[in-house]
Amino acid sequence: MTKIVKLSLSLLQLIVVVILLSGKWGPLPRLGTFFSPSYGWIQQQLEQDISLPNELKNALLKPATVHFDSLGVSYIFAENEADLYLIQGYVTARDRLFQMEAASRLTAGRLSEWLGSRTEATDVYFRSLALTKAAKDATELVMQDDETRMALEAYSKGVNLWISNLSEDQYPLEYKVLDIKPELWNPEKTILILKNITYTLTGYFDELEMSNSLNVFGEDFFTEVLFHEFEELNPIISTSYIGKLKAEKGIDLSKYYRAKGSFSIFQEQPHPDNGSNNWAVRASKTKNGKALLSSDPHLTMNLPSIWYEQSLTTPEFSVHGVQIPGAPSICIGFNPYVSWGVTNSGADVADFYEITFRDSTLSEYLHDNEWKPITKVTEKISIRDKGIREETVLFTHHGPILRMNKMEGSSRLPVGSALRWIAHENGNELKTLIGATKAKSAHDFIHALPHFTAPALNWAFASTSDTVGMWVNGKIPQKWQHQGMFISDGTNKNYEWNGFIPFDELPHEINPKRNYISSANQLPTDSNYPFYFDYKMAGFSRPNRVNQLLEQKTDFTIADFQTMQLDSYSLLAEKLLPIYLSEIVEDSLHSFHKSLLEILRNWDFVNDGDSNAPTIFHQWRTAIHELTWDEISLSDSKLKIPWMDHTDWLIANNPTSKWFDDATTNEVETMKEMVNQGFMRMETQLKERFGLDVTQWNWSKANLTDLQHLGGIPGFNSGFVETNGSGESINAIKKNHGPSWRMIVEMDGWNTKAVVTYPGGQSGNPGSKHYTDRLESWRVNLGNPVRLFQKEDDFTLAYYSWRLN
Amino acid sequence: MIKIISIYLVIAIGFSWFFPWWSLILIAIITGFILRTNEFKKIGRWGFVLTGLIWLGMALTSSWLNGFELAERLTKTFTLPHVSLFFVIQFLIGGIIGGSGFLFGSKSREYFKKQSI
Repeated sequence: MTKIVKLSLSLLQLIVVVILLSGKWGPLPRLGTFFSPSYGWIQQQLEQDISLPNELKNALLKPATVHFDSLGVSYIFAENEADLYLIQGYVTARDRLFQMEAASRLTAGRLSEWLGSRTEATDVYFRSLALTKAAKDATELVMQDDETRMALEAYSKGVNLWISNLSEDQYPLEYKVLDIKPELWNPEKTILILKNITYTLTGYFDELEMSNSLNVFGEDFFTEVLFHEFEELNPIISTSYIGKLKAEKGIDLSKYYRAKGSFSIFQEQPHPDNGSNNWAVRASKTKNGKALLSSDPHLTMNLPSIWYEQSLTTPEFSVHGVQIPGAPSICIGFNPYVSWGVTNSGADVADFYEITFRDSTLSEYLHDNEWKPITKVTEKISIRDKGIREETVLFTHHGPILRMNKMEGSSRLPVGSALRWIAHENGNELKTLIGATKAKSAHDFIHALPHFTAPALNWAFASTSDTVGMWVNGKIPQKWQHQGMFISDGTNKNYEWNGFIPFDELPHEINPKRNYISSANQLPTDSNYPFYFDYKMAGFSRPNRVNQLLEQKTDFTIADFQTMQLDSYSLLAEKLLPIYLSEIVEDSLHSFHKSLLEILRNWDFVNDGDSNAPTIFHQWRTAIHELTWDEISLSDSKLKIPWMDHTDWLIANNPTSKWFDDATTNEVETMKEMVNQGFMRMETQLKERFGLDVTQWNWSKANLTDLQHLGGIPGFNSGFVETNGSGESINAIKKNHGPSWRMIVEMDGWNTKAVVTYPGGQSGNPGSKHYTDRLESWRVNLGNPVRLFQKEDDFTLAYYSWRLN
Repeated sequence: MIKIISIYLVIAIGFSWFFPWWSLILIAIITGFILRTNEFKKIGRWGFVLTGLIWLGMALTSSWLNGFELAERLTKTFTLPHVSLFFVIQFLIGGIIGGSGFLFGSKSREYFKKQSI
């Protein structure tokens, strides 16, 4: 008897153990597999298998060689393009598979298949953005061109070659932690990746808040606050427009449509500061007599890095640069003839239109005095451990309806807000990228640009033949002043886009008199330009500082540009701090307060990570801004909060503006009160956060750069990184947002030299030495010297190689 | 018995490194069955400790070569206060695989042994 009991008990124990170790318990991975040496986390620590992959060799049409340098950057030498992109897909998948899949799933609204209900809201939002349909349509277009079709298919084939040969024990760590499996790639997923770039740079929508604010505050809010920019701002293009185009006669602010619905704002928004720097100087401004270009795109600095470094060479062309994992070719880089970099233009290429439904069936809407049909598309979102959720997306000719709201009053019909977005426009961006990589002159480069529909970017380029240029490129609608700033009347054609700006009329300049070009996300042109871009772009501090430094020398070197990329001087502080200090009333201040003022008075306006002055200044500026607008932010949060730049402008130019007045007090507040109250508030906030010892108030601690994992998995972050800089400096590091790639190129044909770095590493495996091995060199901007190679045996720095023949 | 234990050790190392974890349970059950002792404490202990040590050893060796970087990271992922706890869990999981397998194997042998008389 007891033997049976003992046997049963031991069987029970065994079953419990098996269930415990094989089950999925909440966010935990399946414990048995995850901790097993054969299939689990231990495998991620092993040295990467660098042996020749036979499956890759067998897939190629011709022999090829891949060299890997000590940072894991691959230099691909192929005899034809199909092999080239196939290998590129293969190595990119090897290093960054999770990143590629995650980005394509985010854009397609398919994260919940992996992560269950915690990503449900995100998926619902992205389904309504209708990017899968946009990607599908764009893929058809891209496939019609032989060159881009070949690139897409070869790249996809390479990725799938890697995935098909992947055994479970070799899955990237994220797959093991999250208990998911890789899915095969296809060309549409590459296009989804490109659409994601458009989302990241143009997907920040504030029309809803703007309309709410227009209704609540009226026009003053705009004419007195939002429409102002510091006069000294240098536009991107140094000359005035001299063409003949004019915008359509627009609609004055006083007559602009007032939205009927009061819409809740979007939770899913890309970072509003996704911008960058780029600049280039002609040979006459350099020491070596060769044109120099610098490019540092500013994005959220995640791990793995958003960029993947790559070198591609065929007998026809050779290029080195970075690409977004998931897409073939190169985004930012250089070949022997031309180098290029991009910054976000920030042009408003997304507009909302208020939709009037005919009846509660929501099957027709009013446009141009006719009832037009609504297209309904049912999206099926598969949510892990929960089931299928169905969402119906309503489409108008403008685009999908993103927000619905009941109107106040007697009508029971909802009001919709439809999105007209450049991301829904078909284009072949890949053709521009490939064209750039193959360009043999500045002329070739420019010729490749028009294919690039979205996002609109400021393309800087420099050629070996000493041409530097800037072209604001992309499909940008010909807008009248403030068109699309608010939710517009969806029934009225006058609010719709009226064609795109022809390529030759887009703001551009080549070899300007000042012998340099630059951009830092500011307004492209002066007021002479006929078309409207946006009500506000980057403030004067960063762009003007770039130009200030470029004016200063005529003997620039790569090292000078490295220093310049790290420049943390603040023209903003230089302007604002004297005003703050002149307004502060010291009578009732304690010695602690006075010590803070003393620190500020001795500050050299450099956002140095070791200094406490930037901490005090920036917190003061933030506190003033919060106090000025606290009635808005304390409201139901559907109102537009002005940029800090706007508050700066009011402080400097309209100190008695009514917007400083706190309506709840009997006194009339002006800028002076805001500055003084802000000072006290700042002091409280900083003491709370950092304690009483002012020497511990280092700016790097306040800025707190700690790069997070792409999927937010704890422990996969970088840890604290000591940095300098700030959003308004050239070294635009704001917490985890900043220069995601730093490149400087000296143009000299096949002797072209570059120095490059980024915060992270080539590998997405947190157990790999290449996960963060470049972080330190990025931090101090001592990048890796790189150059071009005509053939594979010119490359002598191989850490290991694949001879695929 | 030492012989059987050593053979188990070798096989378990191989299976731990190359095969899914549940295959290791089968090996543990078989070994537990073969072993000629029915003292609960001894059987369970051998299975538990040996297998736990194999898993821990593999983890420690590979982590040491990796500079313990990944182990430190995963410690945070599992919200543990110290990396040693992470290795303790590694040991425990290997241990309960071996221990429960050995136990069931040996109880089965006991059960059938009695029947055959």
